[in-house]
Amino acid sequence: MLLRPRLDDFKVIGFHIGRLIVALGLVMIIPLITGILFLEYAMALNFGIALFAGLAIGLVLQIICSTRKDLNWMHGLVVAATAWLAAMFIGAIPLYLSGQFGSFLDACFDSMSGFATTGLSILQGKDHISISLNMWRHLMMFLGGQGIVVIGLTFLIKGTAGAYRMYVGEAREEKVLPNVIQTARFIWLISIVYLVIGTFMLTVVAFFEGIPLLESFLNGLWIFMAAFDTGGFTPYSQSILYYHSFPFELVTMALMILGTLNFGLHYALWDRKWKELRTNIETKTLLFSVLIIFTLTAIGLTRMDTYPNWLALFRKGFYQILSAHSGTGYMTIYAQQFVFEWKTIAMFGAMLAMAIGGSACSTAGGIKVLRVGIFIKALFQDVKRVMSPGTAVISAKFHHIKDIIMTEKFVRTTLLIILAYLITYFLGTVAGIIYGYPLEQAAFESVSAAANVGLSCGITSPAMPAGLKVVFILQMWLGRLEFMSIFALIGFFIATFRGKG
Amino acid sequence: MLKKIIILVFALCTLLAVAAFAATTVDSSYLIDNEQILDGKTVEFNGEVIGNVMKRGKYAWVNVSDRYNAIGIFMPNEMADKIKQAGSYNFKGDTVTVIGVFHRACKQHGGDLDIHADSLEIVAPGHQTVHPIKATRVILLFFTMAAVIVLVVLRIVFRR
Repeated sequence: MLLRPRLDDFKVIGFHIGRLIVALGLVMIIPLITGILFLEYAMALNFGIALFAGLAIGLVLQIICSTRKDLNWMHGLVVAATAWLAAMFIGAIPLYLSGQFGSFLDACFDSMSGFATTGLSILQGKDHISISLNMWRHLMMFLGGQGIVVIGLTFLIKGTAGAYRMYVGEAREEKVLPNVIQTARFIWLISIVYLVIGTFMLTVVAFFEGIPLLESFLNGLWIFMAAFDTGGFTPYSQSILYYHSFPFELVTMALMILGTLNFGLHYALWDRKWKELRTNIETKTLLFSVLIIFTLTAIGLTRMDTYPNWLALFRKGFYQILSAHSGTGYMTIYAQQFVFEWKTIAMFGAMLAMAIGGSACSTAGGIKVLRVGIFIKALFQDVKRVMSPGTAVISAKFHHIKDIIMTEKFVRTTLLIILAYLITYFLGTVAGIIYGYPLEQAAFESVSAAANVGLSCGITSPAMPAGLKVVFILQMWLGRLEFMSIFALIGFFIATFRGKG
Repeated sequence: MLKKIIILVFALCTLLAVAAFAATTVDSSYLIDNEQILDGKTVEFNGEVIGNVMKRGKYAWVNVSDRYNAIGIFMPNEMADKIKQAGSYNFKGDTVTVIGVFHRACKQHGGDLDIHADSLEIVAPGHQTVHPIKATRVILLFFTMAAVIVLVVLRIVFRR
């Protein structure tokens, strides 16, 4: 029986969403200062408007919904789901005011793509955007990668049980450290340390490849933010192809791998538990999956004689597959080349890599290699059970930071989420077909949006139908939050109108 | 008479040869969509220089955009030196016409789709662009700022 939510429920939810919006609004100080420093006053003004608008909306919610109550599970999930929608609208304000989007919907598309670390973009005149706007676009990816709730937990929200419930709502079930606030701060610590190292490396490479020092630094900073957070935004329309640089590609490959690893694994490695790399089910599945999919793709590309030598096959074939698997979406080819050059087998390889995605509790999207690993293990377990005597007790466990026994319930939950992803991929594909795109391309773009990857075969453009833009926004939102909190939000709405009590 | 016919035939052959080897003028979409046909052929490409002129040894990479896509152009430094302004937020870059050999997947450059330039001509020099501050935006800024101040005060009052 559904119980109708009471006024108190709305207040708790509204209050916490308000706090998260205030936290997000405050972050806009960074592009605002950037705009002032680089004398981009018109853009700085836009960021000022967006900052104060965000603060005002957040404060209104906090005043109207003032409460001292903590969140229960349902509240936590609803807050997480709604906060991401609110972030999309607030984040879209400076994008829209920049004048480089055809409509507010287009700005919302890029905003959701940024926060959800997808990387699909319908921004117009990308090669002429301001430094402050580029800062905001890449910052959205950096913040979204860590999580909107994680930002709130780090700065503005106390570490209550309710805080943990919001954290879970953001598709982060694993607590790296016993306390959720410590976990949030550890996620930031890792990200900041890698930010310094990654930006330095990219800056040095870009400088030696002929880009002036200041621009090398800015490019390094932005590319790091979008690579480590498996986002995929770039300051130029050609993505990573702009740099025409093998060393630059190698550094971004390393960053994409780091970004797609579980924060729990990062913690284990920081703790010098190197063995974890060999024994963790996630890293093993990721390695095998990348190798198998790249082999498949290489067969497709070699059969079509797409690339003239092995180096080209590595820089184009392997790069795209790693980018797809990690959920980054960086490209060293043009979108149309997937259709004209890669053709069916290689395109299927890229699609498969996108669909599987990276690690759980990382910034990557997709089904996640952990779930694929569990699924394969469960499959073997069932085969073993069928082949064993009826009296035999078959149990299985896997290693993921610690040894975990695989229960029926555990496998069922995993399969449900895999199914939810497959349905989302399918529905997006159907939407693409309805709008007149060929099956192969519709499926490619749908998987890319729902798995938060950002590779495109050419469908994503400002001229794309508005309905399809909305479908992709929903897919990005669903994919990033991994369904549960959005189902809770839908349930909350249904209960509001049809619940009893 | 025979002399005239020989001259005419020679002129016709020369014209045909020139036509055969002349650069095909292309836009980036046509280039990418027909890359198999155009691979290894001389093409003429027009567009705006964007980003940076990236010099590497004796050669440089320049990206030229024709609004649809930007294409990487590989050229000697002396040719790149003709470019005075690359496009960015504050500048419209030099508009150039590049004639060069198109590569679908360049052997020399790790499979990049690129053009190796034989010649570069500046069609129109770049210039600074202005981004005026709109009065309505300034009013909106003060309005939102005032709203925040009022709300902060209200919040303090409510807390008490």
